[in-house]
Amino acid sequence: MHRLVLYLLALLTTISAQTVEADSLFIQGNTLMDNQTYRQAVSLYEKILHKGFEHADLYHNLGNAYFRIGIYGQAVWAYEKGLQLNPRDQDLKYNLDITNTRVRDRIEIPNTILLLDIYRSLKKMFTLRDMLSIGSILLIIAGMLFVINSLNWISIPLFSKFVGFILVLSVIVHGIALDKYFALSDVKNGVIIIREVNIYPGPFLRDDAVLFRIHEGVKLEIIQKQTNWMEIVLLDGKKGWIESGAVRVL
Amino acid sequence: MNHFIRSVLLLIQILVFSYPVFAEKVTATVDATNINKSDIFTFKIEAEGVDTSPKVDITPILNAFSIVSGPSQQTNISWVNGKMKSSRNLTWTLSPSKTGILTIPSLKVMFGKKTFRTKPIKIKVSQGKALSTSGDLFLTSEIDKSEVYPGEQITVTYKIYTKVNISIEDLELPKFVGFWTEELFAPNRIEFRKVNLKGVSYNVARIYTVALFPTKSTDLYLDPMKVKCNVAVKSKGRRRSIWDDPFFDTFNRQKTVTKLLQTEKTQIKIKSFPEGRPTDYSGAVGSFTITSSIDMNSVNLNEAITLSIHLNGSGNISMFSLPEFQFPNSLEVFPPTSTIKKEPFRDNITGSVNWEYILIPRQEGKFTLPSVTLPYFHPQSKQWKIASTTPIRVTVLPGDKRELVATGLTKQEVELLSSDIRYTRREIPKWIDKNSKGTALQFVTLYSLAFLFFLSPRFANIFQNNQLGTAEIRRSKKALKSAESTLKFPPDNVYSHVSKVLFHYLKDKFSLSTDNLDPLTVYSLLKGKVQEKDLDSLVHILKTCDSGQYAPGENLNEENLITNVRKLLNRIDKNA
Repeated sequence: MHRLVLYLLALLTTISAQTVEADSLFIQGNTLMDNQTYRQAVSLYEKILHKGFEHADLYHNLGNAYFRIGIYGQAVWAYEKGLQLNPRDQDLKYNLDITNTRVRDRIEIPNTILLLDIYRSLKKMFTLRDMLSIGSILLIIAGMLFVINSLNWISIPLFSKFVGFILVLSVIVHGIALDKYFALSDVKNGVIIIREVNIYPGPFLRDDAVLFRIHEGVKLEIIQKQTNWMEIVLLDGKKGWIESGAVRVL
Repeated sequence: MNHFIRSVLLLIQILVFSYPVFAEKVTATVDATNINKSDIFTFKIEAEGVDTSPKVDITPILNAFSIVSGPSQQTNISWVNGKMKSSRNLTWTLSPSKTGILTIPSLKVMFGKKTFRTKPIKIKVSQGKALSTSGDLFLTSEIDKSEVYPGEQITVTYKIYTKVNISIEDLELPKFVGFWTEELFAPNRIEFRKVNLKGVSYNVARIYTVALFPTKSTDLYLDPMKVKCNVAVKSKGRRRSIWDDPFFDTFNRQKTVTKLLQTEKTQIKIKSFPEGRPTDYSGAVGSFTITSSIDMNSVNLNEAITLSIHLNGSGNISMFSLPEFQFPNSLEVFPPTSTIKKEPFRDNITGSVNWEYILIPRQEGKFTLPSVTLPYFHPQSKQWKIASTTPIRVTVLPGDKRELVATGLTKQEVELLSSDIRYTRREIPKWIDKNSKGTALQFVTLYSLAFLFFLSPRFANIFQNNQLGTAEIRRSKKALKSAESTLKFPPDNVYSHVSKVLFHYLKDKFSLSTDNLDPLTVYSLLKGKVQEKDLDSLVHILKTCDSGQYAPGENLNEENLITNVRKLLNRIDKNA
């Protein structure tokens, strides 16, 4: 028992020690940003990520640093990553929009049904955590109302229907959460981080078989991975194989 | 086999002639049996006594004759001696395609399910007298070359020569199989002019001129051109009459004859190209020059420039395109638009083609637009030649606003370009450990809480039901206590009080109903549940109480009674 307590204490102190280190790296990075020495700032921010800590603000600053030194691919990656953690961050969205204007390839996303668009943006607006919180709180509210209803404390007409409505709402939220979960675990996205890269029809290098050429900052979906190669699909549906080094996985 | 056919024919004839009711009869006639090759004649199949339209398979005659027009249908009904006679005719206008004695073979004519055969007709076709074709009226085709390279132009002109008055009724153009055709001359109204041909004066008219470009490398044939025309001929051999006066000439002495004129089938030899064909040859034959120009030699980054390539010359200009060529990588190239202009009123197809490329430089610096080359074959000198443009140098200057791109941006993006990214975030964040899975606990609590809420009414129900079910047991356990406490404070009438307490106790203890309790029923109900001795004394006490209640005279020791009752109740409670 004593040993367990000691162990937990040790763990806690190491974690706090690490966060302290991350804090100092972050502060140093910010100073470097102010001094316009963006390359060093990038390396400090990346160090924090390497230690296993992340935050939307960290990705924001990292993206800014990459943007300043003109590495737009990495900047897009950082902003996208930040938006994954905090999908409703307006600054991140704004900076990503600006960075995307400097991306050479303009990939037209094929038009879809309006409802599907609304659903997708809804799914994108909340993280899995947000959805689960909303869903569980709705469930608790429904449970409390259910108790009140079954004890016949108050008699409002349609009260049980209201309880049912909240329950259905909660089920819908959970359904979206499940969809998001599957999307997160199945579909991996990536961003091109090399200035110009060729896409091949298969996992081999052949100059006469280049399908098309894309530039840094293009977001894509990774279908499968092999040693040193990835099969990717662009947002407009073009498919091909790319060397793994050219893509940073989101 | 022949024998068989003959016997079948005989059978058909017998059937036809022995048919009793209608005299059905099919005859085939022609209006002339002695004709010239350029003449046309009428072939008529007449069916009598039928009421449906005949069906005729005309294909057997097509190897010796060609159909000029027809078939046309006609129905005649006439009354002869009170009998109705109806006949149906089918009429074709035919022209012979050979000379000599030709035969219109026996044709199968069908009416519904009945089949008839016509008799064969012999027609003598002679080459024709000088008057009808070669002398007075003929059609010529003038071909400028009989041996050409694929893609080289051949000009064919059709002319009609005549000494007599004609009017052209119909003009059938050949199909020009294997050629790309460009019509050069096709008049709406044919105009004749006078020429002298070998000392004979003719009226001549150009009726059609076409430029042909062979698309195949094997020998090709020009199909004959056919012209149907009406010729005015003076009728001969008429008896002299008073009308035979020049004055009446205009009314009587002319008649029109329809003639079919056609040209001979002509072979065109296709030569093969000499050695040394360029690899990027795209089919141009003729003589061409090519120039390129650009609208601005120095341009700002991301601003569009127009490269126009202009091709001029004569030859098969609509049959080929520019060879593909490589632009520098730093240019965004939009697919070209091309416009073709042909010069009319020229026998050699001449014109110009303009290709316009829109280029947008995406990098600063100087670069060179490469020379555009077009290999072509020059048939006059029988040589391969190359037309090419001179390379163009373009300077790309950095623009005022570096990233302003002219195309492909939405309005919102253009607005964004003028602004900068949002600045660095200063606040130290609450770090999220990428590897930890600590968030689960929070949700486990939330969900179990919700679950508890849903289950709690059910627990409450179970509790409530349990309370109701055990009420009697609890009452029976409490029975002695309540009885003793009531006994402590006896009122004036001890007997009624004791009996009330006793009944109450028994009711609670053994769950009896309060109504109709009297010592005897108590005895019968409790027999077996309480020991015999106790039951006897209980009944005795109850009886004593009853008698004491209703006969107040009998005085018993009240204190004694209460202690007795208490002892008895304790005993019953212990043993029960």
